[in-house]
Amino acid sequence: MGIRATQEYVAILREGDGGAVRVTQHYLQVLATISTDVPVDATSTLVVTQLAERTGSVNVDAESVLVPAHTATCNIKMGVAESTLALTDEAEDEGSISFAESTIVLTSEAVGTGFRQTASSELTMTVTATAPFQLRKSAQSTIVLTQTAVGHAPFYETAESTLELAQALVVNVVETDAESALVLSDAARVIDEYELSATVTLSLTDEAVGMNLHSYATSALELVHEADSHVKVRSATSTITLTDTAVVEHARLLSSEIELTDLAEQGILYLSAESVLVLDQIARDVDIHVVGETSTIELTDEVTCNIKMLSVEDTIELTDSNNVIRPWRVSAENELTTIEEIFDIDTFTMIEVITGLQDSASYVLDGPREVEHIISFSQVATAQVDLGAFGTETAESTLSLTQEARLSKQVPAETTVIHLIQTATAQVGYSAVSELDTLDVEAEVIVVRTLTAENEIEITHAVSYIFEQSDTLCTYSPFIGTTSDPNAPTPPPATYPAVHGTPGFRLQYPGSGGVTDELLLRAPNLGNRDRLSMVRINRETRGGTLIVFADPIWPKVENLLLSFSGLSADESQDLMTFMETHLGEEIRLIDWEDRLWRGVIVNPQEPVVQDGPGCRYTASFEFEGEKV
Amino acid sequence: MFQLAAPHPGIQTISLLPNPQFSDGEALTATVTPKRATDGTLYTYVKTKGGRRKLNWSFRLSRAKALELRAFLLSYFASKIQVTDHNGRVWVGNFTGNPFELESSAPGLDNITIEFEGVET
Repeated sequence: MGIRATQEYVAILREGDGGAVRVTQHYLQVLATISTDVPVDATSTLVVTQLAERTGSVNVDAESVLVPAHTATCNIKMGVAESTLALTDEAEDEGSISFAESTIVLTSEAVGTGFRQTASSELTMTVTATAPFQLRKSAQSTIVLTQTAVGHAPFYETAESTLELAQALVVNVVETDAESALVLSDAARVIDEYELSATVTLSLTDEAVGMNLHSYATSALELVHEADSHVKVRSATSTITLTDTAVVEHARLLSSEIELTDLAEQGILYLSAESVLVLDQIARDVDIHVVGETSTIELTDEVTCNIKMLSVEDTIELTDSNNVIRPWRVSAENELTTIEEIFDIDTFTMIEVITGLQDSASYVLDGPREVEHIISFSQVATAQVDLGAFGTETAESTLSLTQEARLSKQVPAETTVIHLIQTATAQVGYSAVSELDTLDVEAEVIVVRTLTAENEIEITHAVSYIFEQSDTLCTYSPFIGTTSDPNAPTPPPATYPAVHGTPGFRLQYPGSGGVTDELLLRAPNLGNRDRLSMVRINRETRGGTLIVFADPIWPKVENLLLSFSGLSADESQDLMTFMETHLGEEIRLIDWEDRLWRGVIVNPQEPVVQDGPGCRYTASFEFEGEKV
Repeated sequence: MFQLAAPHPGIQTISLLPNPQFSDGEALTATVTPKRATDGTLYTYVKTKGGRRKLNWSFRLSRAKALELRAFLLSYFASKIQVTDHNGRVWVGNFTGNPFELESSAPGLDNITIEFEGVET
């Protein structure tokens, strides 16, 4: 169906089936309803051209208002509802001192209420405002666009909202500002949903170009990036990442250059111009070989101020160094002279003669001496400005100059040369004698000798023990340990020959070797004595301390005092015969315990006594010897 | 129990003896020499011995123990001896008796008397 509609008339070009057209003066409504059960697409295409023209009039506005309503409804399952709206709104005004306004209010809505269906709404819109070659007029283009995608409680569905907006403003008019303000709000919220994330992706390209003279191109980019999450156990993260990346493969130079020029100019009086620039740049090279990596930062920070009444400070630090090469001569003279009056026999007058010693010392400083010359220069200049009604400001220029010269020198050890000049003046007829006292030289030498002190400490150790048993007190059981003392006495033997009784007591001759004479007697009486007589020295000190000493080689005398009773007369006589025969000779003695002794009988004069009749002879003697 | 240990202080040998017989003695070694002046004044001259005391013990030993003591005396008669007497008192000193006599008082039993001078530690 085709319809041509103007404001004055409506012409139906061809009548369609099942359609109805309502035409009024202000709007045109086309009602087309398709009702069928088969999958058939319903297509509605509307091309509306609205033109309002005023020609040759002054101060008359040309207004054209177009409010179209375009709806496509599809209630059929598994079908697609498409609604395409192409709208061209143009307002032109070629007259002077007039305004051309073009307003488009457009609503595009797609609602899907069925299950597992997708509601899509695409809106492509181009708004152009052109004001060619007009003076002192501004061209404004405003787009207010609201796009909403709402998903009511769907499960496992995603609500997406994509908004692409391109706005360009070109001004070719001289001395006219071009402003482009882009306000964009993009929000995605998830309420009372679990395990879902709210993501906002915002890409902005903001460019402002001013190509005309005496015009300023301003590009302000304000970016607010916020992600909120009201769900518990979730973190709210807001990240802004700006990445400038240049990637080159195959061994080519990889460079990433950021050139920033932050210029702030101020043309207003009594204000200061500040420029703060903080820049961080990082260039990375990942897994590329034989590739140079360059990171260049060029910063230009310039402060320009053409405003009067502002002070300018500049500090100049100058260092001036001078090296002076000059010899230094230092001399000292000491004259030890006397003036004497002597009689001159030639003139027969008294004349004065100078005699004595002269001592002089001189020293020449060699080498250059460095002289450090520091000049500190500071200048402050204040401009003078005539402000007319505001008065006249004075101009001051202060120049402070301070000069300081320092001389640093290092004087080495001085060497003094003493020249002795001895002068002897002879007088005629007299001998001049000059004696130089003998110089005594005394040298004192202190000899420090190194003495060695030695101190040896002998440390010995000894180990002893006690192993107490039930028969310890009645058996031969000395507890003999060890000692490292070489001067320790020889300990007693650990064991002793078993003592066992033998029937008799024997005296044998000689002391060693074969026995040639032997006397057998009964065992001695009880009460025999075993006497130990050792040679030792006992001394007491003045303090009463007892000192006992015995040399090991000193003799140890052992005596046996024996007495025999019940001897017969023959036994007593044999004993005396034996003693008489071997007086003073070494004999062997085998005692009643079968122990062998070797020694002599020291008291042969001991009498043999007969205590009664019969075998009641008693004899006794003392044997001195040693046990073998 | 009576204990003899020698030499002191590096003790190497220890002999255990039964307790001594009664009539053991303990005496001071300090001496006092009195001098009386003609005016009747008594002067005393004292000589101390550093606290040393003179002790004597008599033992009645078995024959084997007597032989052990005999061997001990032969080895350490001139050495410093440490004696722990029957009262548990420890003495350090020397044997001063000379000679030492072992007397057979009964079959298998010997008597011996030891003289000792030393300082109790």
